[in-house]
Amino acid sequence: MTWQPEIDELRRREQLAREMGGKEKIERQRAGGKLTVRERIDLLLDGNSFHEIGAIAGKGRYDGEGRLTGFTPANFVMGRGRINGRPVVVGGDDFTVRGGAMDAAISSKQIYAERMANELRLPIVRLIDGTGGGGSVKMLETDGRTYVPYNQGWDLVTDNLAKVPVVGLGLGSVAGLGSARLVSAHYSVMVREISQMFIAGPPLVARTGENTTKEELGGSELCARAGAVDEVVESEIEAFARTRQFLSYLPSSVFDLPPRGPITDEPNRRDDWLIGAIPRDRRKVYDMRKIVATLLDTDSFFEFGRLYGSAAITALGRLDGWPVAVLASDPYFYGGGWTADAAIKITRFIDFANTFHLPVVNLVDVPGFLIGRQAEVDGTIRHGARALAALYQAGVPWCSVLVRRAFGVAGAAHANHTRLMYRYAWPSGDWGSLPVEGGIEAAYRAELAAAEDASQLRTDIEKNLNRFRSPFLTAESFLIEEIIDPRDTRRLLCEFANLAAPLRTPGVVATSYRP
Amino acid sequence: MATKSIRCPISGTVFQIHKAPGDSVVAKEAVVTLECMKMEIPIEAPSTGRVVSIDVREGDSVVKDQQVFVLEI
Repeated sequence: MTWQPEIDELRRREQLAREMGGKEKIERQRAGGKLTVRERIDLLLDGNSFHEIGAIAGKGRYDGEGRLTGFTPANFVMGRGRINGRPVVVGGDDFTVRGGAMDAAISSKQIYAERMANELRLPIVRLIDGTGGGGSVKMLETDGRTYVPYNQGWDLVTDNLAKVPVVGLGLGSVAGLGSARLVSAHYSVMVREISQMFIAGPPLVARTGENTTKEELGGSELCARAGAVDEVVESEIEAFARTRQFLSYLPSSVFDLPPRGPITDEPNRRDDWLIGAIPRDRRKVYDMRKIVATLLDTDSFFEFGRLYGSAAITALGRLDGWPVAVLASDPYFYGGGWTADAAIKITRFIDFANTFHLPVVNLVDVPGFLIGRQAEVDGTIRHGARALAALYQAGVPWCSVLVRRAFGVAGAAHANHTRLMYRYAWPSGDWGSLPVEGGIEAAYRAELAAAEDASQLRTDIEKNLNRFRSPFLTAESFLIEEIIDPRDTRRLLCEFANLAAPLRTPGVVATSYRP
Repeated sequence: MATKSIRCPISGTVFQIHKAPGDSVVAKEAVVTLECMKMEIPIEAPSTGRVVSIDVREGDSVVKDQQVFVLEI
């Protein structure tokens, strides 16, 4: 006599679990344009790599003889699998069972997934579709009491941000604890139209007198512009593809180093157009993304967070195969000036790069902080100071390229000046404490007030001061170490990536990432 | 034909208006230029189309998310 009957029972229970919330609920999920959690997992992971844990956890129904007559699985499917051949943990809400509220969950499954990522030092991908385990007032009836809330698993959620790559994908309407789980990630994505995110959904909000639709309240674009999530994609398939690419730049945990990717591009490649990439007219803008893309290995430019703090571009990329974090200015947004939201984005990005030992390449065109009343209303200086603190606490190798301006406190924040200034300037370099145009009134107030023709004097002063603006004069005093031909930038950055690679030090950093 | 409201990505001052209602534009063509942080920042047509209205005047102060022009695409 073998244990075959028990194995048959196990297979039967697993089969019941794979039926999820039943045919009707699955059809409803599909009608909403959404994949089921099991389809999602299969499409995210390498083929046939999913090893499920806790498949048969749920609620069984039994007859008088104790025989199983029906089964509703827990509303969270999780396990291990592979992405690009590397092991990961994946956990997804099953909305067909119930929208994630705690009454249908076995909350220890979620905690198990987080702990597995933590202890096995593996990336975790959360597929979020619902409230992610938060409460429902229905529980008052079933429990006959209420409770003081606590955020279950949050010790692990927080610790994972310091130790393993965390990706949150919003794949439905997400509220409460689910929203907190979605954004407590290094990379969070929502799928246009099928995903909305809010603290509380329209019915609760309506009780405060505000009538909104789900899209109006927490549409994906709104959430990305607010910086609550990093990105909006057009389909679930795209979300999975982006996740796979994001993870390719990162180590499996901070105890490891970012793996060198394929070497697909010539490190000494020179692009002739770079010599004219920066307009000679200081008032004209240019396409920084085109510059970044050409400096990096072909097709390795991976930007995220584009809709928020847009004066700063934050991206991953490769140089001679080595993963790097790229920070760059976008002159189309406030001339690249640091707004409060750009500073918040930069802080998080530096902490992210530092956490995962990604050398930073910073392409600088920063006219300073955004100035004006709105900048003060936004508390820009506090957020900017926080970005400075992140910069001065970061220990990852760092290389700056001053492509144009570096003015004031924010311009100075292109590098930690107390470290080796691994730095280059393009001939378009233009820097100082204040741009000449803006600083004259303050510096020559008395002279201008006394002048018969203040406007003429102003022009004369400006002309005179502009004589000193040449970057060669700065280089004469070794206040900029090197001026380079922009066409040599890729070669020099690839050299940096190769020099930086052995300097990267695995381990948990003191100032690790917060969402 | 759908219309698209093009909004200010930033706050600033309207420096130049390059197009008038009825004009055709191609993708990435500047319709309005703002001035901000001493830079001329073009507000471009996101796709080819026809300008329906220009909702700012030269010299206007504009704020982020304010409608600048409407494009028929």
